[in-house]
Amino acid sequence: MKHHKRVVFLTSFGISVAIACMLSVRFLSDGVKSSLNSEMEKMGSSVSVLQVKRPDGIPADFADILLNSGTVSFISPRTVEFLESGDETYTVYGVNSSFFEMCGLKLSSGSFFSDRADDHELCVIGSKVKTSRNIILIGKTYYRVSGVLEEENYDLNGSYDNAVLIPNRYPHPSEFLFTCAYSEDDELIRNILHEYLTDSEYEIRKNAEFSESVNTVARLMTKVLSFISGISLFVSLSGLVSVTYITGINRKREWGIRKSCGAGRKEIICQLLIESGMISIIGFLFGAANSLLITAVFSYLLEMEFVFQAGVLLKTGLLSAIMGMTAGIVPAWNASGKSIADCIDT
Amino acid sequence: MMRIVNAGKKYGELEVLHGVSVRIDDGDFIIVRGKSGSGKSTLLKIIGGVLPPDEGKILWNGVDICRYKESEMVKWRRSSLGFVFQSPELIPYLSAKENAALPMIYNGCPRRSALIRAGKLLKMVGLSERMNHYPAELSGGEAQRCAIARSLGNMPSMLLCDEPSGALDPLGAKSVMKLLKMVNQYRKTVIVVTHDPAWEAFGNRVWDLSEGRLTER
Ligand SMILES: Nc1ncnc2c1ncn2[C@@H]1O[C@H](COP(=O)(O)OP(=O)(O)OP(=O)(O)O)[C@@H](O)[C@H]1O
Ligand SMILES: [Mg+2]
Repeated sequence: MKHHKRVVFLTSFGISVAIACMLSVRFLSDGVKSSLNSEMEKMGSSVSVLQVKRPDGIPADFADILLNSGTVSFISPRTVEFLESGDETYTVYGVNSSFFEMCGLKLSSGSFFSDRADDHELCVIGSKVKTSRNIILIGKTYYRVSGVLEEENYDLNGSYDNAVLIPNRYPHPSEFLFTCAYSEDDELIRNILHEYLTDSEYEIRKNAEFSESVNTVARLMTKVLSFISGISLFVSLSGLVSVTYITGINRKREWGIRKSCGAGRKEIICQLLIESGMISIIGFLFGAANSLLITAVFSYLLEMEFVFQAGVLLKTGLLSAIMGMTAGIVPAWNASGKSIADCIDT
Repeated sequence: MMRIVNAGKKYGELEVLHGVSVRIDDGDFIIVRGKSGSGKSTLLKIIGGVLPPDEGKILWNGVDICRYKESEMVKWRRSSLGFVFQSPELIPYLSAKENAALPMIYNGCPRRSALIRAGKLLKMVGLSERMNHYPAELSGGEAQRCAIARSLGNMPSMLLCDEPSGALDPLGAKSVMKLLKMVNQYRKTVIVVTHDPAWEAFGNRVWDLSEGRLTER
């Protein structure tokens, strides 16, 4: 291969770019997926939402019935009000103490309120909520701040930076958050619900379903991107085909010399296949190294997990070696088929 | 032993060889002479199985080499034939030593020992200082000597040389002819094309080619 260094370099460079694209797409999207999943885990993907579609909601003590039936392990109502305070609008959620754990909320100071009656005028506020002397007026009630949430506390519902959490004060909430005691307890819950509500009067959304659909989208994206970079690999390999083809012709004299020195067709085909396979493998090695670099840099910048699968690397390496050899078959066959007299005409 | 029976060769309309019949015995040292364009190279290529004749037979120990299968031809070339083309024909990206080792490697000799032997052959043709040079760094005469060294690797029973001394000064040419004579003394057949009548004395036979016909002196 010493004879056409530049061509070898350019071709394997093309292949390395394609391989780098393909592998980085793969590794990065794996990283995105696993980051997403662990993020979802934190946001409580096991939480389900019961939405009651009746104007008068459902009595708040309904939560206790579900809890006592043993089908749910945590349940909290969630009512929503809005509070105008100066230029800001805060969202006020009416919840109970189970809510904090279910949604994985964390405090930067203070404590959560409990469900005891003497806590009913305490509240927990988001990091951006302004108060005067730790007192907030909501409706006609003054609430004292018992705890402040960490910054960027968010769940699938959004950020809690501008939220105020108070003990629920509505007797008929229309939304509950709960986690099932067992993963497949839907039926039991529905059976209990049927005593209060008809089918069309409620809806249960599972956050797990949402995370599943996020995963599906991520998988689809990976497939599309891999396909695109697969095309670039194909293009660079057709470059390799033309290179082996042209060198096969340009080096006609060499094949003549080798044959006159006793090389058979087999030896010449082997030589060309090994050469094109080598070009492809060199491209793969550079591409793989680059893809690791790209993935490492991006996962550092985007604060994602660095996921790297040796199996994928190995498979791609094998694939590129095979494809490189395949690219050499026709040119090698043609080059080896010439007679010495055709190759050397002096 | 080789017999050429009624061999003819045309390049399009141009008839280069016509009804050439001749017998080559083991251990012959044949000098082939003729004007430029008289078909000396063509005849040598036909004898070496490089170029098939349009008509006639080339019998090697009674078997027509034109009917050899590809694999038989390769085997014959490896074991029995050394060929030195009119121009040196070295592979440009291999060193002199690697070039000289090629036939031995193709004949199944391990690379290491092939290279060692190639070094000895190069020394024999006076290239001990040029072993690791690439063809582009060799003079015409040096390249030609390298090609001769290469043709000797497998101790072929027949050595065909197309003007091996063409690019050499008289002294260098003489040493090459002496080398060929030495090879010939191992009962190897040597056929040499040359322009220079001075070398006729080395051969035991002289062929003249003119107007497509071969005459022996
Ligand atoms: N491949 C070819 N196609 C067409 N004509 C050819 C070919 N090779 C040789 N010839 C012609 O055949 C004739 C004989 O060529 P050849 O090379 O055998 O001559 P030669 O005796 O070796 O000459 P020289 O002493 O110059 O080497 C020449 O006229 C040449 O032009
Ligand atoms: Mg000639």
